[in-house]
Amino acid sequence: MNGPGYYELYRKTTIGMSLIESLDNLILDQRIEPQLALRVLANFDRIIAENIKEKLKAKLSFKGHLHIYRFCDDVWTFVIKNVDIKLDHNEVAHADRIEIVANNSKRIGET
Amino acid sequence: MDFNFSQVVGLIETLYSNTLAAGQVVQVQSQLQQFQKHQGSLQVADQLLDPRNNYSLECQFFGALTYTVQLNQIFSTWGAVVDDESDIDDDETLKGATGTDDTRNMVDQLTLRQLSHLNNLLTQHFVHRQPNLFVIKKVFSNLSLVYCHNFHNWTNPLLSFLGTQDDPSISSLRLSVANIEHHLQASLAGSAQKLQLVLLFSQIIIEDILKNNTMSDHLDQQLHTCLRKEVFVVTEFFVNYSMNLVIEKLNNNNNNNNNNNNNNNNNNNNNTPKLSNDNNQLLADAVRCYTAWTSYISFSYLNSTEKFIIDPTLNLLIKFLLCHQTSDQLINDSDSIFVVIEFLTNLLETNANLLNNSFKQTINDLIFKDWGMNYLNFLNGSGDDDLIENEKSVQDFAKLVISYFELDMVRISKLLVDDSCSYIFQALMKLTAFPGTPILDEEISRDFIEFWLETSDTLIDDTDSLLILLKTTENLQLFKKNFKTLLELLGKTYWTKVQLPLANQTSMKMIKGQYKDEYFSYRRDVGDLFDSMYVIIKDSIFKFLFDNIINNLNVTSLTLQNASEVEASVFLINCMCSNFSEGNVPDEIFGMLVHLFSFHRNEEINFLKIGLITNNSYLMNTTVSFLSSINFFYKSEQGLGFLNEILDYLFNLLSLSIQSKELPGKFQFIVARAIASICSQCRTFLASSLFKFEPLLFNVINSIDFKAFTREKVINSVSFIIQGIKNPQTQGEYIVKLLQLINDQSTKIFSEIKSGRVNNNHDLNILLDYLVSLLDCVLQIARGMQLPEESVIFYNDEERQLVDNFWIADNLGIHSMILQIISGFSLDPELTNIFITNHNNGESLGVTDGSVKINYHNLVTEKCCEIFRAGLCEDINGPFVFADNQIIIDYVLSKFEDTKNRIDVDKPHSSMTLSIGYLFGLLETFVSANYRKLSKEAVTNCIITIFVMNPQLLNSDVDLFTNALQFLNKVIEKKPDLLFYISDNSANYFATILESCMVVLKQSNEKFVIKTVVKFWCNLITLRAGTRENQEYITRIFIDEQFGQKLTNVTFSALLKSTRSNYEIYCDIVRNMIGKYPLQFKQWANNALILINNQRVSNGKKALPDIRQLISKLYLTKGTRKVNMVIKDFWLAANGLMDI
Repeated sequence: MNGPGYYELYRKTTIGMSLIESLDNLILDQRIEPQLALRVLANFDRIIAENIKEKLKAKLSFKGHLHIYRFCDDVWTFVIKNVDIKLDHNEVAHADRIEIVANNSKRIGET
Repeated sequence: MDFNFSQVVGLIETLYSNTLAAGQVVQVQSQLQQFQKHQGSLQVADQLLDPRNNYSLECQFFGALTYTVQLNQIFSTWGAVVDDESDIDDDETLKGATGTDDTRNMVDQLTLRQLSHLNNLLTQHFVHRQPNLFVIKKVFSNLSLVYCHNFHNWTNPLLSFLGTQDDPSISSLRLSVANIEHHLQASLAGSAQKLQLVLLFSQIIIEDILKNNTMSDHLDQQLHTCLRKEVFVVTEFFVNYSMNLVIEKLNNNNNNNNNNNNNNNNNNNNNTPKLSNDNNQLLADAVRCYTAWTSYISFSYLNSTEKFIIDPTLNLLIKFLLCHQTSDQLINDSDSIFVVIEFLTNLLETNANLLNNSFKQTINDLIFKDWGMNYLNFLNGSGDDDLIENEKSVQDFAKLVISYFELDMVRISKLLVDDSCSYIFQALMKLTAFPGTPILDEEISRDFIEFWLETSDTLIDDTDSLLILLKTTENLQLFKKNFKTLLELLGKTYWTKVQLPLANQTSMKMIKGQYKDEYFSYRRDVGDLFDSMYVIIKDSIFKFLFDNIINNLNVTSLTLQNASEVEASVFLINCMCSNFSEGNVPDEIFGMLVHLFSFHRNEEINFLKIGLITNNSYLMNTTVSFLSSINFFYKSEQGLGFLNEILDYLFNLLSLSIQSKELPGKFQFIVARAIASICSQCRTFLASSLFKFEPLLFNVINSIDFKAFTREKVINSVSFIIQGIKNPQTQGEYIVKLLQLINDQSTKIFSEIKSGRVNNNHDLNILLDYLVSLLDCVLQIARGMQLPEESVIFYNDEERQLVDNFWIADNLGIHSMILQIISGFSLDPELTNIFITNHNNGESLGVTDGSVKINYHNLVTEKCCEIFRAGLCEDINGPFVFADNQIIIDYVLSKFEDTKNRIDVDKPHSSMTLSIGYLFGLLETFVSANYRKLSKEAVTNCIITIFVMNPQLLNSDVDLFTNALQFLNKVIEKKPDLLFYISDNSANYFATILESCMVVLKQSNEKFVIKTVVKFWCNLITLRAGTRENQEYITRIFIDEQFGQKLTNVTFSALLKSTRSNYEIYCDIVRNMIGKYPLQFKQWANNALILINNQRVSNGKKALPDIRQLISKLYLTKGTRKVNMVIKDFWLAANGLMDI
């Protein structure tokens, strides 16, 4: 069942862009209608959100200097400087600056 | 194409027979699809759908599918007329939106025909027991499709469905709740199955509407209204009716039981459907239907002004739960209880906006008052065994509790100061401490981790908000005290949970096997929880864990339980230590650490020995991780005294891990990394111990048995300590010793290989791996010798001067030793041949699955380049800093010449080109670090050698071209003046490079190549670090030599052909051209686009959209980021694609 709308932000990922470009080719070759492409993408939005929620187990923690933060239209933005990132299995990474854009994990229409 | 009936049936049967090859399936499908679009297909569909004709279920389904195709064809032009909101009330427009009279009549007829088929199919299903539910669902779905488009004319499909069973005429399509409610009871007489079907139909309608919410806005508004006034009213009636039936039956049963199984059931009236003893199915159907509706209602709240009242139904669900008080009732209806709890949990998690405060309070009472506690006690039964047996139910109840609290985490703070609510926390703690090993036996404690984490994060130190909420400071103090106590208890619970079941071999086998990732992920989550809890409960949690370790050490003989407890404690302490860095560690922690390391220090059982005594790899592993995370302790006055002892312990472990076959290979890696970490952090404290490492150094360099990683990490660790010595002479002497050892050993191996005595490939590979590892040791020395901070901070003025002078003089000849080693490895022709013809299969890199095949020649070149690179960014002279720039340029050019001569340019993507890539990478860093000191002649010479003299080589591999271009980009970025050196033999070299870059820009499809070449052109256009002469030179090339026009042609041509993810990269060129050449670019762009348009038209492609408009829009943006939007619209229009 399709619930309320899902975020479209995963369309910008590599897998999302690959799907969109494949759909573009199918439309250009006149093998599918644009409406079907939209339907496929709507399914993609749902499936990727569900899979990330259910199957993704990797975690990281980080420490750094919170340089900027803001909350607008239900979206948090954090700019963090001099960040030490700890990944699973004690792997570590460092970044001079990272920006985190966090959308509400609950879907549109939910509180 | 004409179809006859038997031909269609034959094709359908063939299609579903599973005997066709893939190609045949496509062919049959294509024929059937043509049939479905055919005018007379519905007559055939009617025949197929009629159960009296006895066609297979597949044929029936195909009949329903044919209806779908025909309906979609009708509705594809159905609502096209409505395009102006102001006309929405106009009757004519509305007619247009809902089809012409003829079409509407046709749709009505099709609807009736399907309703009629539905009646027959239901008879087939219920009377003849045919498993045709999937066909019925498809017909429901068709009717739902009709309703979505035709709701103005057909307002209530549910009533029509019921009505046509008695009166299959057009009047059934005009039934509405306004005049029919009194018929509902009668319609339901005698059949629970009919109830279930209405619920299913309603569910399908609402799910389809959610799926197809792309209709125009004002149609949607009317649809929302129609849904609420008609379909929802009927659905609510049926859902509530179903639940009342179930509840009534439960009450009757209860009464009957109370009256000694009195069989007279007087409460059932004659119209009430007969329910089987199993209430579960009807209730499940009702809840499933209502779940779909709550999702829709949540959606409609955002998209319409319709308000739905759902409280009566929700209260019935609560009433249903409250009917279950005794164990028998709870057991009999456990499935239904599960369905309702799951519904409530979903509602709280995803659609809580539908709930008012009154209902939230109802849920609170349900969970935490009599029913919830009674239910929990029932699940708990007579102890842990019962609890484990009911794990699924407990987990669902726990999820309900968690979702309820997550509505408002701050609510917990209020409960914490209310003594009468203490039972709630006891219940939560009981659920968290669910018996069994997590993941293997239970998942409830995992579900609670996130809850507790969020609780502690929400309530951390937010004194101001808490004070407002709790009103008085007394309450606030009480809250803090109670919260701390709660978290301490929680800490003990999870400490037990993270203990490895070392004594249980079966569990350990599962943890090492299928549950490995999940189990250790659980432990990391608990670690995060402790990290968060520490902020609130501070040292008491540390004290608990340290005390536990001490208690376990205070025994005469160790058991696996001791090891398990110590491992869990050390693991959690380690997690919390991430809070600490130098300067923020409480004194108490130092005290506890001192106590830990000094306890039984000289006796048989102490902290450092417990892992070795129990021979437990998990404990050793965790202990090593812990030792490498408390560098703050070693640097302190209290901890310094333990540093040598701990390093000795780690080196012992390293030796042990090399000898032991039981310890996993990864363990060596962990220990070596821990040693490197400690040596890096505590380098200045370890200088006096350096002599102790000499035997080990000799051993790791001369023994082939060490893993390459271990050898390299040990050398790296010792190099850190050497770097920490402030006296350069002592430093130099140690470095000479190391380099001499490496040089002697590698020379010995070279001779052995060159002698030809090694004729076995396996042995040769072992020796080559060893050689590469020795070269890597030089790299590790170079990295170890890098200053950890700026020289002015690390040294005082006097020391700095001393060090600088020492390395300029280099009396020990260290620079030449390094060059000798590099030359021996990288420039010896005979050895290079051996390196080129052999491959590293990954074993030395820890990969054993055969996926790795690296050319030794590439490895050696990479390491040599890295050795040079290590000294490039130092701000003071040192052992790996080469003052003469020409040394690196000479190395790069000699190696480049040597390698390119070995590459067959006719075979693109030779693995050898990787080596050349490393050389270009070194040049890039070299320019970045030394551009101020470089001569124009030297740089131009490099560029001519690479770009002008070897175009065929660069063109043979885009990776290579990209690497070379990155070097060129660096020159343009840092000091473009270096590029414009003109001598006799370099007069036109720059134009040659530009032509090559133009070709690459035009032909490349790979994102990384396009990015690099676009960056090149952008750098060249802007020339930020260029002198006036440089600017004039480039402007002349762009305007006088027409490169501006050429670049514009190529950019637009490539941009229009590029894919969706790439077109934006080219926008940077457009933006920079508008900024730098505003006057000329307008004409260039116009010329380029007209040329491209003419080519497209002559090739039979669609013409470009308005070119003038594009250029005007581009100029309105003034070269800002808005250019990207303008180009995007143009790209979409030119390619006939939509914005996604």
